Amino acid sequence: MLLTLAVIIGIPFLIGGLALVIPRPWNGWLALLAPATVIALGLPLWMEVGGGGEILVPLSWFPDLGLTADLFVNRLGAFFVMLIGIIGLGIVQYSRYYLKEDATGWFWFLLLSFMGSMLGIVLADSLLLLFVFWELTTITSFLLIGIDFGKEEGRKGALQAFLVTGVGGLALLVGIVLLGQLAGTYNLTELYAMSGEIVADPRHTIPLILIFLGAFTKSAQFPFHFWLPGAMAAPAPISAYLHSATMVKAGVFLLGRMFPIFSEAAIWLPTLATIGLITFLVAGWNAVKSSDLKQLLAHSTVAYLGVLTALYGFYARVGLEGELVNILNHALYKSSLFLLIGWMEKAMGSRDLAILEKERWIGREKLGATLIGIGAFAMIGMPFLLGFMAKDTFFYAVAEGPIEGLTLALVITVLASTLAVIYALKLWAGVFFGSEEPPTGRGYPRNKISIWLLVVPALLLLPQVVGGVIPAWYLGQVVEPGTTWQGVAFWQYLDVKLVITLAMLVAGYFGYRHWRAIAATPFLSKLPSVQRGGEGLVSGTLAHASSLSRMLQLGGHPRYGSIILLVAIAVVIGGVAFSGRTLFDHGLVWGPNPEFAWFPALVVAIAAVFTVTLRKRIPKAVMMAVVGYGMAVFYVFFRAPDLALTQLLVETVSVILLLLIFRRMPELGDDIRSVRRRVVHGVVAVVVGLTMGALAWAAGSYHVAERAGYEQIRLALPIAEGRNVVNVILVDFRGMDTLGEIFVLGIAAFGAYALFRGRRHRPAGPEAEEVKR
Amino acid sequence: MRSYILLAAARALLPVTVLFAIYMLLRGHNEPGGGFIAGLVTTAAIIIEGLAFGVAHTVRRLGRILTAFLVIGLGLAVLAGLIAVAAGDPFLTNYHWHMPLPGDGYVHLSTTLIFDIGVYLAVIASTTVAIGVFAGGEEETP
Amino acid sequence: MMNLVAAPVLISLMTAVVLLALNHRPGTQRIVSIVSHLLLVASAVGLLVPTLAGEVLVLTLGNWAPSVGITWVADGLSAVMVFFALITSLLVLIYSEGTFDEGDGVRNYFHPLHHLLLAGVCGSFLTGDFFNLFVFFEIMLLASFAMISLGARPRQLNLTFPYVLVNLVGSTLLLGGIGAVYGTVGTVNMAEVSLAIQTQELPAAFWAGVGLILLVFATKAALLPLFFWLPDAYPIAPIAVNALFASLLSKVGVYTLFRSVPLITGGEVGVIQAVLVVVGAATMLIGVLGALGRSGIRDILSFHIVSQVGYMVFGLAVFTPLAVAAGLFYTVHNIIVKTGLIMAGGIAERMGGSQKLGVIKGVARTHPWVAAAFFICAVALAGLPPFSGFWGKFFLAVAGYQAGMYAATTIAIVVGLLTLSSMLKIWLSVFWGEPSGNKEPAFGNSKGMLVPTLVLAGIAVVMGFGGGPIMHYSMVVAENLLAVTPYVDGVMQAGGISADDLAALREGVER
Repeated sequence: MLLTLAVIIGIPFLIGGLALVIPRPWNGWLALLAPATVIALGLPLWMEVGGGGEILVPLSWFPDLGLTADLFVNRLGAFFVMLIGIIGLGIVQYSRYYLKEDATGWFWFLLLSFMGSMLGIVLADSLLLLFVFWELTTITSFLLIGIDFGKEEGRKGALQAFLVTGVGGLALLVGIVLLGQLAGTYNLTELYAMSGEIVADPRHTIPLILIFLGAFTKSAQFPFHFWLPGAMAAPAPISAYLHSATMVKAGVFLLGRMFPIFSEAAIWLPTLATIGLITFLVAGWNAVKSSDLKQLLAHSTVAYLGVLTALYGFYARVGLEGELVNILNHALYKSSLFLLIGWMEKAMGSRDLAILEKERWIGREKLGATLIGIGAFAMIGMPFLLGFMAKDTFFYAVAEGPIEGLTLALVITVLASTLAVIYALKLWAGVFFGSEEPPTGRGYPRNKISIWLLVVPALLLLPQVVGGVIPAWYLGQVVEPGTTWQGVAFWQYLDVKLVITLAMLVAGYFGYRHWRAIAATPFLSKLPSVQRGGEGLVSGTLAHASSLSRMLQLGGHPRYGSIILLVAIAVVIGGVAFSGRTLFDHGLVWGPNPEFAWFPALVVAIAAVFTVTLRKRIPKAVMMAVVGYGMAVFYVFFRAPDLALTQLLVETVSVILLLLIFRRMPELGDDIRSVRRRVVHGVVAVVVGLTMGALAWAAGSYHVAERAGYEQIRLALPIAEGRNVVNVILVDFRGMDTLGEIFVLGIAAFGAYALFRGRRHRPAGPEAEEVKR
Repeated sequence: MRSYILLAAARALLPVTVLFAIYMLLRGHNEPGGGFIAGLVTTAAIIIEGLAFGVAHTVRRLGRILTAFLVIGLGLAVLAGLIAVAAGDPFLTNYHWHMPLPGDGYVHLSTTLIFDIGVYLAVIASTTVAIGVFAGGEEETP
Repeated sequence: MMNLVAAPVLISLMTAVVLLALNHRPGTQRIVSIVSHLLLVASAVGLLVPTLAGEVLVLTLGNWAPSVGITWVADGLSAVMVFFALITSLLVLIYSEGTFDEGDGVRNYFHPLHHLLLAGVCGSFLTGDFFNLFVFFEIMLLASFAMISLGARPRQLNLTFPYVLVNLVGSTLLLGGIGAVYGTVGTVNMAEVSLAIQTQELPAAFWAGVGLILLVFATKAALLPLFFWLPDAYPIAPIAVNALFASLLSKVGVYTLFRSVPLITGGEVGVIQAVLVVVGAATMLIGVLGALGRSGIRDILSFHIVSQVGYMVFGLAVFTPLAVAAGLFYTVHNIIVKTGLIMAGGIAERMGGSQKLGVIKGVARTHPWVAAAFFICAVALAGLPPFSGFWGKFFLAVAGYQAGMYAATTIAIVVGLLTLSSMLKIWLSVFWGEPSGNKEPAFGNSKGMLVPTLVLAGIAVVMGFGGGPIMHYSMVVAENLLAVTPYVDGVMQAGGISADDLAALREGVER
């Protein structure tokens, strides 16, 4: 079983990878193999668990951390596998004829990777694994939306989709982490077993809200509904597959996965019903206003996603009956309609109702008209189509049983369904029943348009009709085997629902006749949307970030130097505070203390002051050398002739070096710093000097019983065979330090040489002037 | 304005100073001295020569040798440590040999000396090259 | 056989010496450089295998006991850092060939300096001695000074000056700190210092010294508020140097914090934890905001280094094995991915002639594989699955919430989104859009640049899917690191000659 599931998830990725190296058109043929394999392997799975039951396949992932990559198949999962496979097959076939040479290896790679990721989502038991695939769909979707990245609109839509679903993804991640911490597992099946405990724990609310956020952003629920229409810049097959049939349903699928855990939670039903119905209404309104038919379909997709979201809320009361019918219904008719809009663009040369409304296409495109008609009627929920059953279960759920009275939810549902009638009619009647004869020049000639652009949607619409005509068999045997389907056909419902339906149809028809007038009303046109807020946030963040970025790097090295030195003081003070003692609680005596030590100390101090205050380079360098020579005197006090000698030589060589350099440099100008800055710099310098001095003194005067140095003195002669311990330390005990330091010297020389030569060798350019100086 | 006394002194000084430096280097293990100090002494001598004859001239004259000194010096220091690796001991483990001389004395040879010679050469080369870089360039030739 | 611990450093030092000698034969120089780099990688593998099994390899240099001489130590942490540093730097070395203009005189200096830098970096990873660490910091620093100013354009020298200044001040402070530590505990051996902390009551000067040492490590890591030397200096350096620095230098700072904080605290973090959590979270946030505000490919990427260092340090700050393992995973991932991004961005820069956004467009159409490498690294950097960055972020989030650090962990999550935004900013303006600008690199060989870049992107993918085993070893390393005793015991039992052996050895020595 592991192999089967692994192949189902893996084969699209594998074939996608192959499509990168295999040339067109062979990679298109090859691509067909991926969904075909998924269907072939998925069908037995569906047979096995469609009527109930589940398969759990353990798979180890992070064994040390107790995380698994377990796979899990149940009815919902297997159903989605088949959905992804069957619609995927249609999409691949359609894409080959629709995109033609635009179907590059990269396109197939991304499309099939997306397919594999979707399959991963629906087969994961581990929420972690689910999340991995979840984000992978976000990524592949971003690249697919922007596949035509030469267009501004595609880039913008892709970015918006990525950021919105990205926010949701992060929320989902935190939700999963917190849920995992609450329950001690990330695995769905284990979470199902302990749903009672989880819901009883009040801490479940935050992870649940975060998971909702993930689902709502992915499924474009209010107030995140704006990204989906923007994503429609993608070519028709991508819109059909990602943004109506599968990816956007991942959010709904997640709700389905969460249902067994959280359906009893207090916020489950109210949140989902509210958000879902608001989305249904708002998106329906947007669809009514749309003139671009693809935008219309996008909004209507959002609306239906609202229905599906709300349904999961109501299922908490009425049970999961009709769960799959609604998903299937929408996936079938909406993806077909998207594909048909793709055909329409080619055949009619436009998808804008402002143009098409005037024209009478019914005469020329009978097959297209029939197919779009079926889709539109399914959208309305007309009898003899699967859409009818779907709508029926929806009403049943909203009313929480047979309709007995008016509730707010029911009113909204009726209202939004009426809007659906309007936009379905716009889509069908608007396009095909205008008055003028359509022009012939627009669009592609008939023989340039592959018949597959109609065959694929026709095949996808077939179950709509079959399911509508023989619902008892279709629903009871194919879609939800094993369940006894109550609602069978419309004539069994000659009750109040029929009245409502008829009223909706009539109202919808009048609404369609006057949709432009309705769309022009200011009512509802200023709906709150996070789109503007989100865009404002993004541009605001960017603006602030760039000023912050500039500010952070202002000030140059005097400020940088001050910062690091002040932090150093703070750290020293912090260290002292941490120890809970004072620096000098062991006394002040440090080393030999001859009475005349004050004299070199004074010389050093005075020379140091001059080094800083003098305004000519050469005297500065000389004063610095005086400081160094003064230090050498202290080495003598400590009876360290080697160090004193080294110090003298280093000072001599470096003062010569500095003099050589300064000879070639311009004299220092006047000090241009303001008095205040000078004072600040002076204070910083003095405080740092005093702090470091105090630290050195405190460390030097501290008595340690055993030092590395004492041991080195004892070992120097007997073992290292040297009487000069300093030299033995340099070449033996700590030879690695010396080795390192001579390399430091070597690099310094080489680096200076490289810098110098680099300046010389540079080709003449705009900066050549500066080099000459 | 060049002092011929300085020129003469510098010409005489360099070999003497180098000899002194080598003395400092060899005795370093037991008396004040060693490769680092010896290297700086030699550098000082080269600088004096440079002050007399022009730094660029001096460095150019010594250029090849100095590059070789850098490579040999650094290489020698590492190789001195690698002898121990070849013998299966930890890197930088030192070995001492006492070569008896006719009479009572002996010569103390050790890998630390090789190391120190490496230090000596590297110090000369790097300080002088650096000075050459900063002082050299389009300086007038003597 | 313990000499293996020093092998990465010795090989790179010797290579550098040979390359210096070959300075006038660029062809031979290149071959020697790459061949010996392969040897370096082999030595790193030799260190990795035993240490990941939990062994601590100790080399007592000169056969002196830790109390007398210098000790080098390879444990899991060091070996992992060495290994990944060498892998990425090898790829940078191969890549670098395409980034130099003909006859600009930079190429001949790059190879020796590259190996010297590596010696400094690997030495910093492997030494077990604070003063020796200072020395190898200096090697690294001097080599980096020389590399960052290669080409010596006036603007470049101007912008790299803060880098030099801050690091020199840092060196001085480090020396002061080490001096205070030696003055108060009488040793600079890290393990001995750690033991002393656990067994003795230490004076104020010691803790002040430790504070200074940690401060300098934090500066090297580019933590807030000491990061300002990095974002200006890196983008102005040559591309290959930028890639090398991004992969190695700030990670040395991070490594030293990972190494020293457990040794210093001995497992009880207390005050340091609070400081590290605040600094880590603030660094993440400020770093990413700074990056968002930039408008050049490498400007953005370099500022991001700051942000990601915040993640790594946050992992350390939480101080549970899971968090430290996540921080380590994140560090390794970042070495790979950050280098990959700068290399991919560098190719675009070579094609467009400038790293400024908007100069070149549509690279995804003209060079899809470059775009693929950039994209993978970009989403990995933002922490999206299934790429490498996700695991670091995920386990960091798990550990952070477990430890009850809700605010800081949430910042880490949000920063992921801001990172994504800034990566998309580059992606949209450079890789998408109708192609414009030069189509081919003005100079150099783009194939030699592309393959190493793709390899890095490939590693990001493999690390994403193979997160399990890597996380397993990260946990092993993290547990040993936090336990402290394996390291300290390993060093203290290393042997070597100490004054205690004097009596026993006296007879043998007197000849």
